[in-house]
Parts: sequence; structure tokens; C-alpha cells
Amino acid sequence: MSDDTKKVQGANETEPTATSATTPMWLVGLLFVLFFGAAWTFDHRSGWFNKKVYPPYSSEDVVKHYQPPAEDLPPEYIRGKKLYEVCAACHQPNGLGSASVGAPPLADSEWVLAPGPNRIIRIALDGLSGPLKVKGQQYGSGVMTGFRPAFSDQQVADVLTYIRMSREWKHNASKVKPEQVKAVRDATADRSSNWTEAELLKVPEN
Amino acid sequence: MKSTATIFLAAFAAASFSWAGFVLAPQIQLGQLTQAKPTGSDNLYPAARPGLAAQGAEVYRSLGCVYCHSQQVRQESSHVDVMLNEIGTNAAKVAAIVSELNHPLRAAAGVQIGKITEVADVPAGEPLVARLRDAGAKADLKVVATGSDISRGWGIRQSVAQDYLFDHPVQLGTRRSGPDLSNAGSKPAEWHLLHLYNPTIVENSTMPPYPFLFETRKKTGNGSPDALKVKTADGYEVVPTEAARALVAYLRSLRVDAPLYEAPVTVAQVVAPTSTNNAATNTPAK
Repeated sequence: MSDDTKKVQGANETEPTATSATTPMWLVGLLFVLFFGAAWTFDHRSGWFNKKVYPPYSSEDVVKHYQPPAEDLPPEYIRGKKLYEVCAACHQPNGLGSASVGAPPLADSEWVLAPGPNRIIRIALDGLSGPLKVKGQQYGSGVMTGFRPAFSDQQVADVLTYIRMSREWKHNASKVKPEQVKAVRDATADRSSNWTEAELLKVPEN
Repeated sequence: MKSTATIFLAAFAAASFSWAGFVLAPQIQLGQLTQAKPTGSDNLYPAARPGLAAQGAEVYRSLGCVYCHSQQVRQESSHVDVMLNEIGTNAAKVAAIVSELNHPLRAAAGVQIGKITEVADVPAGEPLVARLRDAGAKADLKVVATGSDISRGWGIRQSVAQDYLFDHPVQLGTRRSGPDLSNAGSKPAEWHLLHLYNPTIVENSTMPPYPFLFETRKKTGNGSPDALKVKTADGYEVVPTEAARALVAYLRSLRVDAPLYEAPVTVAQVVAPTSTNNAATNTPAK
């Protein structure tokens, strides 16, 4: 320390000096044990720094026991859901359609939820143009292209199964089988234009 | 000065020890987090914030919202509900299985659709669901997170690191003078705007109003379509500024409800709105 400080503190005070005194070893030991115990508890409660484990779960094994069981969905539904991405471009992932491109909704649509898939198979294969009434609402401007060359019978059946059974839209209509698609595909093999509402309404619902 | 080296070494040891604990260990634990698929979904979570919402995060930060609002849902425990969804054709057998259960929820009058009992975890409920399914009923298990935050309606599960992936900085908050905002996105944008302008639309709210986020101006023509539905002097309207829009876009982006592996929960099925008057629900908001 400098001489200035000494003056301020007073001349009588002596400067404290560091001397060596032994730290009691039991204290070091106790602190070590306490620290170790705290760290162990902390790690134990957080699943040993596992990023998949957060309290109140204490380990990955426990987290595993709370995974919601997978839904019991048929394979064609799962494949169809993947294929629906193509449809979602116009009909939207939520199935509500898009007025700007003239795509009517699929969710709750009476065309989708008809007793049989006769008409929607035809729409999927050869498309649809012109005015269409869905859920009491008139849609006019849109044109849907056909997927006859693009999708196999199985693929058409899968995607129609998905839209008829979609859990998201609370649909619960029957599955569409590839044989049904094949029958329609063969019966309408010479078709070269989109369907219209008037033509489709002549086709029996199932 | 004596023992310079000892003091320096001790200070260095203390600093590096806490650095290892507060920086290095979390980095090793969580630094590699990336977007992930929630249980039963193919969409990556969390979604990056769109531009306006990212600007809104800065508005949220600059207004100091974090001083009164947290963004962290806590959870105290989990359990699993056994749900009976459909009785099926063999009602007597289903009733027999349900009557074995010792649970107050069981209706004395007979079998009812809905929660029939509560079990500790999924494996504990599976045998019961299997028996119910064998009897022709439709049953499943619903993972439920519980805790005081969850019963306040602030979320359906706890927040975990994954939820904050795109937050820089993470605005967790330490005080809850206002409600937790982890799921502020569940309220419509119109509500948020009105509430920022006049927080007293919530009873007993202590939140200050933010009138400077809005512009009171003379109406031209029919007025702005964005004008708030509030009382103003004749011929005037209140419209949100860009900052208010950004802030509301950010608030709308707050949502902690994806069922993650580390935060398991059963999410209610998304139901398409049944309103049929306008199919154009996907047109961008004005």
C-alpha cells in the first residue's frame, strides 16, 4: 500500500498482513461432499443432462411411457395423406379450398362424403370444369385437371380414401378400393374432356 | 502484493468453473437442437417466424413486455386418461369391463362415452384399452399434462428448449404481473389490437394502454378496413401503426402446443371450421 493511504487511516494502525493459517480439512471435505451431493441431485433430476428429459420426468425411460400411442390408421390413409399434398395446392391443407383459384372445399363437401366414390373417382381421373355447387355455394371459375396419366389406380384410391376418412376434417366415409378406380378408369377410357356438373349428376352416387 | 499467482489462479478457476457450468454444459446439452417433427406430424417444429412477426419480436423487446409477461409454461406432472369413444355393439361386455374400474368418474347409471378412468402412464392403460377394443368398443389413451399454469389455461404442456429455437434473445420473463404469453397466438389478431389499445377489455387488467401504437386520424371515404371498433370523435378513426401490426403478428406466432417427444401430450384433433359462407379463408389477412 502507498504512504498516502496510511496517512488517511491513521498512523497508529498497522497494515494487515497475510499470514498462513491452516484451513481445517474437515471443512474442505464437508464442502466437497455437499457440492457433490447437490450436483448429483441436480443431474439425477434432469436425466443426466439428456435433452429429451425435462422435469417432471426423471429419465428417458419415463418420458417413453408418456408418448401418446400412435393412431390406428389404415396404410392407404397414410399414403393418401402424403399424396394429398398435390391436391392441397388448390384445395388447401385444411380442405377448405381457395376461392381465388376457384377450388371448392373438400371438408364437409357432399361430393366427397357421398355414399359411394363413383363421382369423385371420375373427378380425380378426368378433372372438372365449369360451375359447381358445393355445400349450397356456387363455384364457377375453376378448372381441375385430370390425374388419369399421373396417378395409378392405387394412388387415386389412396388419396380419395384420405379425403373421405380425414380425421382432421372429421370425415367418416367408406374407403375407396383400387378395383373401383380401375372399373371407372376402364369405363371412361375414351374420355378426353373434363367432367361438368351436369354430366356428373347423371352418374349414380354408388 | 503477495501471492499474485494464487489469486490469479483462484479467480481463473472460479470463472472457468462457472463458465463450464453455465455456458459449456448447456451448449453441449442443447446446442445442437434443430427443427424436429412433433409426434404424429410431418411438419417441422417450430416454424420460423415470418418477417412481420420477427419485427414484432423486436417491438415486444423494445416495449419491455418481458418485464410483466413470461413465456414459459410450467408443468407439475402428467397422467393418462382412458377415453371411451364408442361403445360398439357389445354394450353389456363393455359395461362389465367399465364396472370393474374403481373410479368416481364411472357413472352409476351405466357406461358413458368419455373419460372412464385415469392411469399413471401409457403402459398402465394399454391392457384396458386392448380389452375394450376386444369387446368392440373404441377406446384410446389421452396423455394429459397438469400443473397450475396449465389449469390457468396458459398452455396444454410445459415449455421446453425446442419451443425457443427461433427466439433471439429468449424472452422468458421473470415476473408475471400479466398472464403468461406462451400461447398468445390462440387469440385472434383483432382481439390483440383492441387489447393493446384498451387493456381494460379484460376485467381488472393492470396493463397500461399503448395508444402510441395507434394513429387517430380523420376518416377518408368509408374509412380504413383496419380501423379498430372503438368509440372515436365523429369523422375520426383509430388505425394500428406498422409497429402494432408487427407486434400482433409476433403475438399471433406464439404457440406452444405441438406434442414433442420431450413434452408428450395428446392434442385434440384439429377440426375444420364448419362455416360455409366464405371458402376464401386462406386469402392473406389485409
